[in-house]
Amino acid sequence: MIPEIGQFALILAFVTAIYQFSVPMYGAWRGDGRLMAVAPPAAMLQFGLIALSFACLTMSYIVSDFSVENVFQNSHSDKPLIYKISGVWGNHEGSLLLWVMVLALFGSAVAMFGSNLPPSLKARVIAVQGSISVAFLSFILLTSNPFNRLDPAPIEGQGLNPILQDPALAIHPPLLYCGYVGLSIAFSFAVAALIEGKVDAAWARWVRPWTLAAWMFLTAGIMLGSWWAYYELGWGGWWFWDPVENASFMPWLIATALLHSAIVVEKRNALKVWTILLAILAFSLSLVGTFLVRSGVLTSVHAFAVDPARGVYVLGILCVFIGGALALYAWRAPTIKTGGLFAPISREGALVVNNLLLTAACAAVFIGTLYPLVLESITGDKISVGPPYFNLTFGPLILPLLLLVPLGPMMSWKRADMWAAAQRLWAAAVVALVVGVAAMAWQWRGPWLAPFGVALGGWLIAAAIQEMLARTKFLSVPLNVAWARLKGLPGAAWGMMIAHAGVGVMVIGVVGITAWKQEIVTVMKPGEVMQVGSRNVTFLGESPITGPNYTADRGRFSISSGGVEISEIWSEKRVFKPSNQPTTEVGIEPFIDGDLYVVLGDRAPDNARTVRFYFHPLVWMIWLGTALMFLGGCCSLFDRRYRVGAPKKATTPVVQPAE
Amino acid sequence: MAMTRKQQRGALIGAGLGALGLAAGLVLYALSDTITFFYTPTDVVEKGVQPGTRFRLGGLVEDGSIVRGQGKTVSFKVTDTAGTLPVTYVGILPDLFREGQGVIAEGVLDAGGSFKADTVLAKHDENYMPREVADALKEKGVWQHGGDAAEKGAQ
Amino acid sequence: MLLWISFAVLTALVLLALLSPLRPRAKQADVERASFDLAVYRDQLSELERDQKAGLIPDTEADAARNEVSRRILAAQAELASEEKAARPVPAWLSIATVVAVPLIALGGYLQIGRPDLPAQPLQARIDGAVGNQDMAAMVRQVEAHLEQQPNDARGWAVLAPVYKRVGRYQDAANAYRKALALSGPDADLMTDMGESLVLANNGLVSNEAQEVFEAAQKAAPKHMKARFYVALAQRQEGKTAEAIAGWTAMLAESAPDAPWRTAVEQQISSAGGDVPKAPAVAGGQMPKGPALTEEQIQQGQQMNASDRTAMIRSMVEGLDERLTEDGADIDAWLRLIRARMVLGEKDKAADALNRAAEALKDNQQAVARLEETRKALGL
Repeated sequence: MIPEIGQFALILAFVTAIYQFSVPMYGAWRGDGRLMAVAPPAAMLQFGLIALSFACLTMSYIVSDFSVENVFQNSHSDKPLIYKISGVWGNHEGSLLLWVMVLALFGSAVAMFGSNLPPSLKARVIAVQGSISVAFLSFILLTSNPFNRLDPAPIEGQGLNPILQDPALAIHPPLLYCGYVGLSIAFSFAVAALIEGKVDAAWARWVRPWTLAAWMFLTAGIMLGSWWAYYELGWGGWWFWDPVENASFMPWLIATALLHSAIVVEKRNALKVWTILLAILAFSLSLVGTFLVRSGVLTSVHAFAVDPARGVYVLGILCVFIGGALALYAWRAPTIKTGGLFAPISREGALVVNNLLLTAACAAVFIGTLYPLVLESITGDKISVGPPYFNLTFGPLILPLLLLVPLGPMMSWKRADMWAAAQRLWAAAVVALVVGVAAMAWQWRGPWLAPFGVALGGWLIAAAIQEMLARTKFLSVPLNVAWARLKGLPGAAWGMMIAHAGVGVMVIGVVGITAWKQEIVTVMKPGEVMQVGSRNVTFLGESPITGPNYTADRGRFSISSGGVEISEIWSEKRVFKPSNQPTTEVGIEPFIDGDLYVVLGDRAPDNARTVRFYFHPLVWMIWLGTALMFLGGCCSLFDRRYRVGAPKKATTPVVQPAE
Repeated sequence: MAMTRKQQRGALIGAGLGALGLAAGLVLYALSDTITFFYTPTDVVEKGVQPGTRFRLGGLVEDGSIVRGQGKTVSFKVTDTAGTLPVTYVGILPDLFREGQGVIAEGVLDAGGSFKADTVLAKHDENYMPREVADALKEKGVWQHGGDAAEKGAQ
Repeated sequence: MLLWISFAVLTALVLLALLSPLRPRAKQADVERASFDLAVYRDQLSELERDQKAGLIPDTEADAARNEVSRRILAAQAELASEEKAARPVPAWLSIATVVAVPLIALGGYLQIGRPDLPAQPLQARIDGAVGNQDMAAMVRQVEAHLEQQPNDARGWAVLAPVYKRVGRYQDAANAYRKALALSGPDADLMTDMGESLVLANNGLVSNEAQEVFEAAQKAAPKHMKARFYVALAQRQEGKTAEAIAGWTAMLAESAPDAPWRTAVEQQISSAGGDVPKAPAVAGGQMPKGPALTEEQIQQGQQMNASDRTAMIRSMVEGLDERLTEDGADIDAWLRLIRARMVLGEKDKAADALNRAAEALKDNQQAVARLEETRKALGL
């Protein structure tokens, strides 16, 4: 009964989504408050129904109900409980169900927390959100139904790909989806504003927290994905410019641009048409990403289910939504009134430069990702575009942006003095110089660009700290006053400083692992010693291990520094039972100067093993940097200005004209 | 420094075109320089790929062709059933590297006509076959009888 | 029954939630748009005030910003005055349409794709419900434990192997058969089953090892149908289509009209482009399944995606056809197209493609010869 209830709830959710789309949209057009009031309950109901459906599928996974085809294909009764649960979204059908659940979640969040939104805007936003739900729910029901049944039920399931049995991966897709799908809210706000023909400072303030939330989830999702690739795939890298990675990175770049341009709309009522375009593009790229991953048109190290018929359907959805939104844009955007003026050298100007560089960088990634597909469909030639391309295009576009990041906050609105802003940053420049020289002294062997990169990171961090000190008037006022001022800083200011410092931390990590990575492939017999970085690693030998659903050979290694043993790590070659699939577990020992990374390879004669060692300097700074960006988003989200309540009906507006 | 609306728009458009031009220039330069082609062993012969060219080689690992035990070096043959090319690789092969399974190797053809790989990718799960390999094999007619799982994976 | 009651309750809840805002006395959102704008702008003013007091922005900048915000406020106030409120009754047809359409679409959709007759079958329930303790997993573990103690028990391996195969552990199954064979000596049944497990483990491709096993089985028992079937399949995959069809046709000739493998063999012949010999009439009943398809799971999986798969192949073939119509210089592509047409059973189109190829390549002696060869081989 449980699977059938899930199936029915999903169909009801589809019907509700149709209602959610059509009735409030009609109501907003008629100016009918009662029809508009339908939107919030419909959005929450739709979420409730999808959540019920998702719970039913999860239940079927937990009890190993193999009469559900999806469970049979992706689960196994021997699997640990947590991987039975993560198996729900570890496959095509289940992950799509999660996708629409998150979509509906964001729609109902607007319904619940959007009390400060004007009813017509709220109704339209929720209606647009509902239309996306209609498209994807029909996609699920028609091509990817997770509740297809098998009769008679098979005795045992076909297991989950063991490479997907990993805690980071278990939470990676949900987070990534929250970001991907969260951008739908920005899209819905943009489309609603276009329909209404009203984009102003108030609109920008309403849309910003939603964009921020989506951006934070996307940031966290990408970081977790990268972290997973780093320690699960065993290739010793953290970012491969793989199309699947790019699919999540492109919306991130545009969402970052959107976050910044929305500030200009909010503060200065300018850049409105551009901001709307960014909001549409950000979600369009999410859809493109969904298409790339779900249609299987890519050759990719991330292999999920792939099916051409589904690809065509997603492509259809893609055309309708992107094409429809852009057509609406072309029609309505010229009617939007232009806003405030500003000089090229100003805070606005700096944010424009930020936007242009981010968008150009995104375009470069986009072309690199899609060019092989286009070329193949035209000429039949198969090519691959790899890291060299991205280093050559993305790098030069993002470097000037990073250099300029500290300048922006130093400039005033409308018109600014670039020289004065630069002068205020002299302390940060000195710190950057010192850091660069220190880096050169620490690792003089690497490429000459590396110390420059570290200095760039130092520049970003130091400038963020300096900004904070300047705002609190540290040293020029008594300490307790400075402390009080520090506590009184708006959340948005904290958010910006922390996020910008996070970028700096990450830059140093990226430079460290890129420029100074050490890789050794060798054949080792038990007892042999290898020097990796500044430490010695001894191969202790290997022993067989039996896990809950796999058997493995575990190779043990001891790490010593200066003759003193520090720790022991192991790397395993596992063979999983249901599918007989081999995987490798890498051994990682984190140190303050970087990670020591061991991968056990094939057997060699005389009890020896091929072993691959990496030393990844400063890799932890990549994770720390992204975590700081996430934290910055949090701070900004809790800024008090996003908590403006709804207007009371009776208030008589009074204005105090400025002098 | 006051600007009129027109000047402001002009400056914005100018900056936009500048960024776009920079991006386009970089992209064109990079595309002409950094892409790698994909060939099957038959293509290598038919298209007369010159030694020293960097490309991706795809096909099946020929049954019984894997030779290990030369230290870190492994050699094997990649076949698309019509042509075969010997490959040498230094390093650790992926977990799913097996005889008779799909593989993609990236590297350089040496003067002796064998392929020196620096990267080897095997299929990533049981149902997955590198797309180019699947296509190439389909053309050769080897793939027609794959089970359902294989067909799904190949698309 | 419980299922239908749950459906009815769910539907009722949905209707309740969707219709309640439409009640005549429901609270309706009727605050004007401009007053929301005003709330934001006022907050912007107070924020400016705060920032200025804290010295976060210079006074000149604050004044300029205050001017701008004030202008926005004035504009919003003007708008507020001009905005008119219209409370109209909800059209009656909307509520009626909702009450009718929601259950109708939901139930209609469900009856299309749902399986109300099929109860949930959690693992535990199936184990409990199985007659005579047929818990496969437990049985497997028991036999595995036994074989760990006595690895030389040929019968044990022979019992375990088919169970492995049944639960989809094909590689394990092949290994178990191999052990059984090593212990008990050559046996055509065991060898064929081992080969079949290898084929299943290999996504349907007959590897060299599997082919050797089948050939050995056929040598040991020349009339072994399953072995012959797979030998022919191996030939087909090697491109020796004619031999394969001959093998299968011979099988059919020696089979009883209701032989369980007949359907599978006929399918293979027709997909390889051969002519299926007319089968003697079968006395009633369903066609049983062929040897390669004894696993119900696989059978189901194949049926489910067969149409998708054909559609995909077809679209690829059409694409190739189009390309060749534009540029027909590639003889190999032509041959591929012709063969693909034959596989799809479109003999006419294959012949047509052949003629077009001959036309496009008439200046190329070698190509024409190859086309002729193909024409003969395919009997076009």
